[in-house]
Amino acid sequence: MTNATELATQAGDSDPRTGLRAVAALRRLLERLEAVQVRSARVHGWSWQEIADELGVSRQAVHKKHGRR
Amino acid sequence: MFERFTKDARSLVTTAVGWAEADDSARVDALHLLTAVVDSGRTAAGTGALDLLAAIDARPGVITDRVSELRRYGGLSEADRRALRDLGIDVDTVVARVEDRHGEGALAAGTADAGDPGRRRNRWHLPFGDDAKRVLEASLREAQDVRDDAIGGEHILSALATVPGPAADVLAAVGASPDRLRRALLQRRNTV
Repeated sequence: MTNATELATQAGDSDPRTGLRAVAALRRLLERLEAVQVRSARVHGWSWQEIADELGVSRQAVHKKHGRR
Repeated sequence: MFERFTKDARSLVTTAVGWAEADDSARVDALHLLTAVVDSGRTAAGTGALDLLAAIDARPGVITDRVSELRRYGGLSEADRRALRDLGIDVDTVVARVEDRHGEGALAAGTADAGDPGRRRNRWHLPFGDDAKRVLEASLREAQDVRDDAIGGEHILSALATVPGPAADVLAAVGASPDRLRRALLQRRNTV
């Protein structure tokens, strides 16, 4: 870390890198969570349409992404 | 770009696709590429990436262990988890809750409890994630920078260290920084 960024951190400015990193990490976590929840719903007998409705996406989109499993 | 890949690099990419398929991922990501670098099935024959790791004294086994730990956290490195904690999101709690309800290692996934066992995903239709695409593009630059004609597994490894994300974090943790890898690439070129 350079002196300037250290000073910025001490002054309470948030580091953009940390914020951006959090967004990227959240996106990856979201993908894994979706896979877990969709799989669980299928095991519980949910149709692709029902799953798509809850996720707020089209049936085609959810089937294309998770269907061939 | 793939036409400039060596047989070794192609085998690495194919192995990465296999890992993505095995853990039920929607895309091939940079961590799958890193897993393929240290894949024991592939390494028996010896690869450019492993030679490069050996040149900087980084142990493949340590990388394998770290990657499987990250997988349990949905592919999030310690730096990722720290960044989310900064936002007030405790990934440890998320993982614990998910594993409570869906079993240990649920976020790492696996096809064991998947819905339609008879219908297998066609691996050639599995797309590359943005991070994996960036790594493969960067591997071309890594080869060009050290004036190697073909892109080998060692250039993919070196590229993995340069694209920010969990795979680069794992490499940094075992001392495989972009600088060290590139120096080792250059050194190898000078001694061959």
